[in-house]
Amino acid sequence: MARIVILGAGISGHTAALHLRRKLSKHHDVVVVSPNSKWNWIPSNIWVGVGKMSKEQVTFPLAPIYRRRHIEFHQALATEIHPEGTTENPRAFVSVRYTDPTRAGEDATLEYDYLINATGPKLNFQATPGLGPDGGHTVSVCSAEHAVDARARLHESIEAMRQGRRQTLVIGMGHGTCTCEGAAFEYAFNVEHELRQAGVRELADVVYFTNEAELGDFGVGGMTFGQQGFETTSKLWTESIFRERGVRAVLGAHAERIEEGVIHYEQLDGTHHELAFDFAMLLPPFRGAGLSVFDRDGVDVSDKVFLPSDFMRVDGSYDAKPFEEWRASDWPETYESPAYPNVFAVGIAFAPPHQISRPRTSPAGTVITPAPPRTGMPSGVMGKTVALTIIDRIKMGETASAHHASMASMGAACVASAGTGLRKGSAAAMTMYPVVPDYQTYPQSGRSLKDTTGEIGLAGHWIKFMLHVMFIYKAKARPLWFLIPE
Amino acid sequence: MINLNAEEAIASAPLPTKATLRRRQNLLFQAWRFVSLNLRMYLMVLKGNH
Repeated sequence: MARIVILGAGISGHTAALHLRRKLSKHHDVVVVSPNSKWNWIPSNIWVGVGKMSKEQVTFPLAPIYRRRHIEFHQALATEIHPEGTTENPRAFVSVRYTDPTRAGEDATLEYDYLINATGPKLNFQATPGLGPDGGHTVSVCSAEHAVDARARLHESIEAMRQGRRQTLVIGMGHGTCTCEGAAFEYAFNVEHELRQAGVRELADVVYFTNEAELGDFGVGGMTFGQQGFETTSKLWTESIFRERGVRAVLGAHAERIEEGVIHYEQLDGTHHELAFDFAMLLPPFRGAGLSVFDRDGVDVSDKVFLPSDFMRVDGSYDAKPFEEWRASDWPETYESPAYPNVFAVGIAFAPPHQISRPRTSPAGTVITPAPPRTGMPSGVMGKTVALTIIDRIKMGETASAHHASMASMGAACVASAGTGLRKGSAAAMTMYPVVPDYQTYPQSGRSLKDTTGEIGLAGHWIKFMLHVMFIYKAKARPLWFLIPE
Repeated sequence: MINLNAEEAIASAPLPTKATLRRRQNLLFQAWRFVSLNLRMYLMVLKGNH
């Protein structure tokens, strides 16, 4: 009998748990630990943030699903990993503290044979003074609760415009090292769409505030598309959308601090500026969850397992090297910890070997470069891949080969909403292959021109909505859920 | 050398023509694009590590 503990119930952790449970007999335990009681389809939070969906439409309680699927669920926050056990008991375990209201604050230990770290990001609002909804001056759409707050603040701004007051709405990144530029792009254009629907667009100045050096970078170094016999870039394509919709942009920006109604920022050229706002949705940078690791003697060995950013080292190449020497092969394939082969990290929890976008710093040395995105489709694929590796090792023995899923050989579909409505909606539907450019295989642009595409239109909105329905169906483990690909 | 002047870049970007804007919202054309895009995404999933 094997016991698999999964820390986190986001896209990657939940996917891993469902696949493990489906493929393993009931003699084996699948255990999920998550501080949250609900699953959240995060890509739809932007629609909650403009009032087009309710919080209930993008979340559902995890406990009934896990009860039905015979998955043990602990609503708790993992705090420590003890991969060697203790001197008295060599069995590996994790320490958790319950957030479940019926056991709040209670500590416990959970033993494991295999551990999947799928803890996702710690939203590091503290990195920029004044950032965030809790004690700061900006809103966020990172969680459904944050998005509900963003909607209320947006509607206050719309109300002010209805009374004839001009408003500046700033949407983007709250730090020079943020990721998820795609989500900020989506929210900016959904807000712009909402303002037009409300009839107040002419009184609004919509500004996209980003750490990208060019529009269309999206944290993946931009894309080159083959389109109607020509090569075009995501830069040109994105700039065209900004022109068409009248959205301004501030590029290569690092928010240094935020005061009531003002963002103080530094740009890549070393200049410092202020940007006044009435409404600001700025995403935070991410850190790892901050787990500590102890050996059998109780010595803290966290730095052996985690990078200083608290993301977990896996089988990637973490040697520092210049951008020109980055290789697709630097990226992890199996997501196994080199220190403890029965421990894996997937989704945002694994440490990427480096950025995907070209790294840039200001003359003062401030890093202003998007961090690599590893959410959504790649997260789900990693979760499934690690689940398959563990299943093989349980069934065939420890020597069974690991399954592979490098982001340098994985494609991704990204549908960036630009407004809702079954007849009036719009979205930019992009595909890229691979996610991490591979200049050895595709010398021209690092990606397959045939498989890297972009298209704007109503169909993209239908797909985004279809994905919302399909992935919630899948996450609820409804009949034949496993036929829906990650 | 990067150009941080977004206003300049945006102002010189190509604007979609009226025909392109109509096509982006045309139900019949978009129904075809819906099928085509889904197929493209599905093939991409198959090409990846599944």
